[in-house]
Amino acid sequence: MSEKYDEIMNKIEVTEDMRSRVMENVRKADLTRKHTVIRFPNIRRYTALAACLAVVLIGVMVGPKLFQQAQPPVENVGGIVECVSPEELSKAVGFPVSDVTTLPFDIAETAYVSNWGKVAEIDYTGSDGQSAVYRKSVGTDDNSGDSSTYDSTQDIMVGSMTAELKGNGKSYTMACWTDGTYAYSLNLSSGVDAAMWSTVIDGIN
Amino acid sequence: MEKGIRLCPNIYYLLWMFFLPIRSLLISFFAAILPEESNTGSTEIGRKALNLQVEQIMDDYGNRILRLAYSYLHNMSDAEEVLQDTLIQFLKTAPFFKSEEHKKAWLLRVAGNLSKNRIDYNKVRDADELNEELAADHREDLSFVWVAVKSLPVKYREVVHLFYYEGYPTAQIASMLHENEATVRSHLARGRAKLKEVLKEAYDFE
Repeated sequence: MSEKYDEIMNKIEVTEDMRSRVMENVRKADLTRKHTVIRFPNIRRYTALAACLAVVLIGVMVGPKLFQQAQPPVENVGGIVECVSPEELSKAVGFPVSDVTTLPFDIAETAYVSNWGKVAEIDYTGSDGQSAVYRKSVGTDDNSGDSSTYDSTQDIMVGSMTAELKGNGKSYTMACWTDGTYAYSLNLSSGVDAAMWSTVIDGIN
Repeated sequence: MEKGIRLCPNIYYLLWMFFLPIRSLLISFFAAILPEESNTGSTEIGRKALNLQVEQIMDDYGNRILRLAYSYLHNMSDAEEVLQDTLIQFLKTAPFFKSEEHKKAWLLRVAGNLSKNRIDYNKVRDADELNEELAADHREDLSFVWVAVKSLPVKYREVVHLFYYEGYPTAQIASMLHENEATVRSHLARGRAKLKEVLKEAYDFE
């Protein structure tokens, strides 16, 4: 406590005049927040509008061409060429290629692809969502491009050829075989047993 | 190579010139569509309610705000303006108070900050009406104390006022001034020491 300091401070008081002045000024105080709005002269506004329209027009005219150029070609990207038929695919790869007719599902869509003119590939999509990838190439090397690890493998004889089946348990999804001239591989999305594989491969050769 | 170096800034310049009108147009567009602030009926009602609150504050805390401002500024005109600005600040921010104590602390903090701003910007007048009044009343004893308190640095003076006159503990002063409590204690001790040195027998800050 400081009695003297308290006494000094108590001499300072809001007088009636001061109160009136302060309250009047407070009531008149502008409390609205001011927006900083930049207003442009009309000529500048129209110039800006014209410039924007020009940008839009140029965009409409040039944009599609730019995007068109930027889009990858549908065909012949990195040596992958899409064909429309087995005959065209055969011409592209230089050896005969036929459709697989013994797949264990109904085919809804088929795509023929030549991979660098060396590996013929036919992609089948079934109406029930199943799919298959069939490959044929010159030589005897594995052309499946599949590096997956499988639980079980089995060799089956189909005619005079030996096909290696890969899968899980008794259900196999991948088969690779060769007739000495060409290498074949077939990958199914849903595994089937060895007997079904035998039928499928027999139909191909 | 040289051509390339000269070309790059030109491209940036062209891009900038290209987007400048778009930016201008967007600003104009939003300025046109945004509604301007207007005093609607509800804001009028709100303003009246706030004005009533301001009158209550003036009754309850007007003197305290004025005294704190005076302790910083040493003249009545500046202190009155700080009181006025404190009330306007209340109207502008319409703060929510948990208690009367909270309200008082808020008002004193705002008044203190507004006062210190004036000191920082050297906008303080010279007249010290209080000292003149004390001299006119022949209260040399009080004048002596007031001159001693006035001579303290602001950082000591504000702590002395809040501690001795307002009766705040150092922890709350620290919170109001956004300082460490240790700093407040240190300022209080140094302020006391200086006052003791000047006031000698007249010292009564205990």
